[in-house]
Formats: sequence, C-alpha cells, structure tokens
Amino acid sequence: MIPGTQSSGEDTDQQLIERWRAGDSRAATKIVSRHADALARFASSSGEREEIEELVQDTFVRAFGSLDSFRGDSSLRTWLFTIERRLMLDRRRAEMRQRTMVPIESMDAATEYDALDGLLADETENRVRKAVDSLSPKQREIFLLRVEQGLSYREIAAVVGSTEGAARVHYHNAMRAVKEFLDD
Amino acid sequence: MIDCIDEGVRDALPDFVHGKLSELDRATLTAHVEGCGACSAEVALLRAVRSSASMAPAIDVARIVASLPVSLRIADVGALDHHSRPKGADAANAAGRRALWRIAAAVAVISLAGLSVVMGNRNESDSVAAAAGNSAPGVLPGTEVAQPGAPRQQAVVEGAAGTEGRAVAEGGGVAEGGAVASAAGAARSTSPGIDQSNDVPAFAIVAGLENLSDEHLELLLNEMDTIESIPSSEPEGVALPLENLEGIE
Repeated sequence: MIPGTQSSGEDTDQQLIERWRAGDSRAATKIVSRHADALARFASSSGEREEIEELVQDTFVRAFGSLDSFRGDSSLRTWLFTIERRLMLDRRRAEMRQRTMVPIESMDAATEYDALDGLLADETENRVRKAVDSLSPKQREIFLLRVEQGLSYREIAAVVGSTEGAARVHYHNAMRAVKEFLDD
Repeated sequence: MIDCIDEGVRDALPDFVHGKLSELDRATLTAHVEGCGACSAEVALLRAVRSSASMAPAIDVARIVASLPVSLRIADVGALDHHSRPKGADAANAAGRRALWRIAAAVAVISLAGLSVVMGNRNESDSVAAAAGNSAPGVLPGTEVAQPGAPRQQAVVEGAAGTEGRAVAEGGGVAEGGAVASAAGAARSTSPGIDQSNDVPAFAIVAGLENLSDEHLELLLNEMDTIESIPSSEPEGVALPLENLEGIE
C-alpha cells in the first residue's frame, strides 16, 4: 500500500483492481478518482500544456488494457506515472517530427509557463515556479516527482528508468539549483 | 540558503511535507525543523513548490471511466468468494455472459448460412453436370462437361434426361443459354448449327481428358490455342441445336 493513495478503511489499489477484474465497474471509478488528479499534475509539471485530460485518459485506457501485466511490484500510482511518462515522451517525439524542432533537452520550460504566470497571484510561488522551470528536464522531472507527487527515490527510479541512487543525486542537485536561483 | 548537514533529515523532508511519515518520525522531524533554520526554510520551499503546482485542469472522471475497456474475465469471477463479491459484479458478469452467447449464436447462424450456400451451389453444379453428361449427345464419352457460366435459373432440364437419354434445353436450346453442354468446344468448330456469335468457350472439363481420342484432343488443343486469356466476365451460355450434335459422336 502506498501512503497517501488511500485512507484507512478504503480498499487498496490491489483490491480495487481485483474487483474491477471481477466486473465491478465502480472499482474503476474509484481507481480513476484516486489517481487522476496526480496524473494531471504530473503532466502539467512536466510541461504538458494541451489536452492534459486526454493524456490522463490515454494513460488509464492503456493501464486498464494491460492490467494483466501489472504484477504489483510497484505501486499502481508509480505504474501509472510510468505509463503517462512514456505517453508524454511519445507526444514530444511526434511533435518534434512534425516541427523538425530542437531536441527535447532544449525544450527547457523557462518560458513554458509564461502564459500561466499571470495566474500565479503569489509572487513567491511565481519565483519558485520559475526556479523549478530553470532546472534541466531530468532534474525537474525527478524534483517534481519527489516534491509534488511525494514518490520515494525507489518509485522515482522505476518511473524514469533510473536507479535509486541516481534519483537521489538528481533530487539534491535540483534542490541546490532551486535555492541558488531564489538567492540570486 | 544554506543546507542542513543532516542529509537523512533532508531526504525525509518531502515525506514530512506529504504527511507520509509515521507518528514517531513525524514528531522527531517536527522537533528538528523547529530548531533548524535551514530545514525550516526548506520545508517552506517544498510547500511553495507544491502549492505552485496546482495548475492542472479538472479531470472528468466519468468520461475516463466510460472510455475504459470492459473487464470480461468471467473465469475469474468463479474464483471469487461469492460473499465478498461486489453487488454490481453479478449483473456485470451476467451481461458479459449474455453478450458472449449472442456473439456465439451470431457466429453459428452465419456459419450455417454460409454452409447452406456452398452446399446449394455444389448441388446445382452437380445437377448441371449430370444433366449434361447424361443427356447431351454431343458430349464425348467419359468426358464431363459443365457450363459454369450458364445462369442457374435456366439450367432446368425438361423431361427425364436419365430415362430418355437426352435433355431438351429450355428455350429451344439456342442462344438463350440452356443446360445443354457443349462438346468441349471442339464440337463447336465442327458443328455448323452452333451459335458462333459466342466466341468465348463456355465449358469446363472436369474429368476424363485421357478418354479423348487423338482427333478430338487435337481439336480441343487447337481451340484452346485461340483462347487469349481467362474472361474477366461471366461467359454467356452456349446452346447447341440437338440435331447438329448427333453426328459428333
């Protein structure tokens, strides 16, 4: 059981999966309700600006279509993040092919949130967001999985296809970079 | 902004912010943060990052659920404890079973329909070939000749072909195309009464080439040499006046 994914007394994700496999569609509703917002935030934090709901929907469709391959080694949320991350990478690759644009690495989000900056009423939050956006894509992804989603280093490693140690190093480097940005 | 020297504590701060620590760990960390300026500042930063990240749009859960694949793993249902099965599961599984039975019934009906069509075609072909073989005097001995292009509704043989030894084609046996067999096309070149307007040899030899005489075989080969290609359209039937066929054999 992953802390924060369900409160005590509620079915675990694994129990809900079994209920869905038995034909209980309400279990699917509970699973989607439980994880949809986190997936949307992860997509938004990763720089997705358009069709986030479609992305979340595709993530669930793909996940439910291959639930048989979910062994439960990781949490369901981690698995969902992994699927969503692959979908986002596919999207970006497709966009790159369409626009014959610069590589992903140069798609730093320094300006990606400009349109939304005005919505951030609090100046502190605005500066924090810019500090996060100044991180490299890899650092930002790991930093936000740790801070926004609360994933452990082990779960982060599973999502991004890295090691627990590497995830930890990236997180601390990112934290240091954010602090330096804010100190300037 | 300085860092706390206790990396273990710093590692745990995100979990502290997310409330994922045990009560004991939470109490310990709370005490540390209250006395550590660096950790206090970092906790404030972590909370600011979290609050600045709530830019995701609202998600329509019902729409997503409606798009999900339906679980039809009926076999798994039996393995579940009946009492622990959710109320909606029985209805969903019954619906799933009904759907499967409907699909199976549809497949069976389609298969039967296809089989009957195939059998019908085979019977008609057999009757045409049999009629031709039994009745047409122009057919060479031991050679079954059929007219694949002849319209089925016209392939009606009047009279008892088997008893009288000949079949009379409907419509007089001329160009309207009856059930009369042509003598493998070879007869056409030797029978003046045949409708020569039909240049496409409307025959099919289904057996007995070895029974042809050398003369007929040569005629057949000559006829085949004139065939340029397989006709793309269904050939018209050829009807032979019976009086002109009697001399062939």
